[in-house]
Amino acid sequence: MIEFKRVDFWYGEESGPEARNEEILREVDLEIPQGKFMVLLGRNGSGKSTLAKHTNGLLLPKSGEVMVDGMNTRDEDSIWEIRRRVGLVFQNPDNQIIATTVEEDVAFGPENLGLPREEIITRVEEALNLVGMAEYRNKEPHLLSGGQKQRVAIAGVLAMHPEYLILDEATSMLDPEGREELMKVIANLREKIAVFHITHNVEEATEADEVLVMDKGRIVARGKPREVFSQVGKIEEWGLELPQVTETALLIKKQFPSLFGALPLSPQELVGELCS
Amino acid sequence: MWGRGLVVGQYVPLDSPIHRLDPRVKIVFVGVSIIDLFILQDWFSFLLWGIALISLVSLSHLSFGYLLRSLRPLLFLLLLTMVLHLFFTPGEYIWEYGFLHISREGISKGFLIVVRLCLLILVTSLLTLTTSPVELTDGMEYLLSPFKKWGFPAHELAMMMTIALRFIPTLLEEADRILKAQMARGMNLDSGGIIQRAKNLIPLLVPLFVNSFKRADELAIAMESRCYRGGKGRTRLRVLELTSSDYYFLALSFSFIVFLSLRSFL
Amino acid sequence: MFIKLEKVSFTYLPGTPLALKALEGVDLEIERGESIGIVGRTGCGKSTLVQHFNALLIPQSGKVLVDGVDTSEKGAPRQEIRRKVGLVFQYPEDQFFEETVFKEVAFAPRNLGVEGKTLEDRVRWSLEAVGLNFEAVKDKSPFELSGGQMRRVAIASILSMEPEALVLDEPTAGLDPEGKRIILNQLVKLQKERGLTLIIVSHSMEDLARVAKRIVIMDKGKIKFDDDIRQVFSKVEWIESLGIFPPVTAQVAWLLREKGFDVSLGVLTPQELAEEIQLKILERKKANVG
Repeated sequence: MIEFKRVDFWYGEESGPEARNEEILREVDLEIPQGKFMVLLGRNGSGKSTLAKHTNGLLLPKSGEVMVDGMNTRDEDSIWEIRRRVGLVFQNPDNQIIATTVEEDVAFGPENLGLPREEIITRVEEALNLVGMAEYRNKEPHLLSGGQKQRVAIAGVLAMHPEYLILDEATSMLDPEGREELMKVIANLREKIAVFHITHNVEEATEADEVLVMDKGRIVARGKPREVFSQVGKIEEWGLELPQVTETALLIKKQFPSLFGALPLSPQELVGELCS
Repeated sequence: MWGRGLVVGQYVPLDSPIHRLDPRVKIVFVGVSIIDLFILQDWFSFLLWGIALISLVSLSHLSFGYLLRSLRPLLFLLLLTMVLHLFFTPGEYIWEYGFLHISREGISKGFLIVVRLCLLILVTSLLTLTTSPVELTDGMEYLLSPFKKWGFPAHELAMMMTIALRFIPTLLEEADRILKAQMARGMNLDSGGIIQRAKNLIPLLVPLFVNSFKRADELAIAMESRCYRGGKGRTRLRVLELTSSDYYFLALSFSFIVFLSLRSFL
Repeated sequence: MFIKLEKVSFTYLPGTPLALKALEGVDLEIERGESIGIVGRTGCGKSTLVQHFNALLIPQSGKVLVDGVDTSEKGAPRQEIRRKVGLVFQYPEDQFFEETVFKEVAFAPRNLGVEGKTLEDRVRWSLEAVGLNFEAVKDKSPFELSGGQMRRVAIASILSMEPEALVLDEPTAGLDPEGKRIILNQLVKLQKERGLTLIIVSHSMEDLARVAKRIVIMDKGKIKFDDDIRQVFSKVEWIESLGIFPPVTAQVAWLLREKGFDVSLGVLTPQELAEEIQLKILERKKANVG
């Protein structure tokens, strides 16, 4: 479990009221349990990425604590174990691949952990298979598509055998094909490890176990996707939009209030309701 | 688009006995060869070297013509060396015109030095043509790692090289894109005097720098997230291991070089 | 005809083993005032195509005519062509280099020799055209703006040349829903009010549904489809095979068709879909019951 306990964060050293005005995280309480698929939504600048960087101690809270499986991210002795357990994948596919071939990039994490060579070979193989990139192992990263690069980045994290995979807007620079590839990989990983997916694309949230919404540094909503998307008026206020299917259903509901007791999130759900 | 067509260095990816040699063996061989070629003074040794080089090239599956191309950029330097030796070596003059004169010693010395330089360049090119930059980096890291004891940053240098190699294609593509984007904003590269042209570089260089800093920052964060903390306690996926052909090559080439050196000393 | 392409072909690194055919015999005609979406999977030649519109690339064979001028002609007024057809690259904020937003937006018109009061008017108009407050942003550093604002300044820095056509490569990439909405709305407004020709390269059919009337689908350097946007979605499987993801609304319409409902496939927005469902399904059900 990753736990945020009343985390406040702002950039800079001062702690006067002015610094507080620039606060990026405000009293964030959060629990990321093992094995769940969670989606964090929020507009640009709402504090999502700052939150992600707190999960593995890249940033430390100004007040409050972040605990990973009982270890505090402030504790320098456990920081590397925390980073092994909490793998981060970032937005720009070009800026997180380090090595000159796919295979070596995936090996980068295990190499840093000082694992024996045979173990590294096994883990690289296993991780590349999980993301479906095994046949590309000897390719140079700059010849891959965006979606493929992100899958390599995920493999690089998986090879460290993490408990939590944090995707910090990992889909936002991808084309629809790359996005779909990545969402398939996530679906594959479900129940194997915890996936915490940060995005502003609401369509990617419909399958989640739990959806969180962030706005102005605070977590303003959490719950099952259907519960969150029922707060229609708030969605726009948070700088988000409804999934198109849900929006359609709400428009129909205005004329036919008896329909859609439970709001549909996918085309199948919408059509199913209309056919019944 | 240009990044795709880019071959860093001159590496020609082929599968040959020379390509398969351990990069450390090749680097050491080239290093020793360079010293040897400077010691040697006689035509017979150079003739033997020439034969050795031709056999290596044929083993490497490269065409000899392709290897010779590496001399082209240095052609001027070679000619200049030749001319200087030709005209300014004192000795038995065989041709004179005013203050210009050519001596027998000049001819022989000039040729000797040019042949020596050519051999040096060709041996070095053989290394860079048959060894990928990544292998070169690995080889250097291994060879330099004994000096870590005295604080020599062998791992850090190798990591810098790797990252540079990884990002060269990306940066070239980016440079191409920014150039085009500024041209779309009416920038005219060809017009104006020298000052105007220098000013024209600002809209290209500033974005490139800004973006590179951003990349460097993001890359550092990504590396830290993946538990990178320098070379300490790090293991490697790819390890260099000497094979029997490496030993044969080492034994053969060293006896050759030792033989030539002894011959010229005795 | 404003922009006309005749049998345009283009290959990167021609004559080398790495040669890459990007365009092959492309014919295309674009009228003034049109709004066109260009779609296709990554690497299909879209970006190469739009760089031909403003003479950044010159066809290796075939011809490109912009307002009647052949771009490949020697001495063709390339700067004037680039003014007429303003091209906004993908992630255009990566090109920023000035200290202030004003200077950034003024860069292009300055290159064209615009100065003084006219220049200031142009910058003011461009920033306002993308929905920014001139006085509030002009002295800010372009690097300290939010993502959505940066994108709008980048678009303004092309609009300040007063182009007759605006070509945008993935104008909403990486933006959040709010940022997207603002930019798309401003583009529609510019096209309607000023008669600006709008050409948008995008992966998002949802976005294009809001702005484009006509869709050009490219695949492997060739144009595979060129027609009204409502015609695109009649062959869902075919367009999916070209790497194009129809908007969710079209997917719903398609599913309803499969269930035997007589809904139109060319629905672009949730509003249209809702109306279609009410009209063709719910009203009829009601009538049947009644």
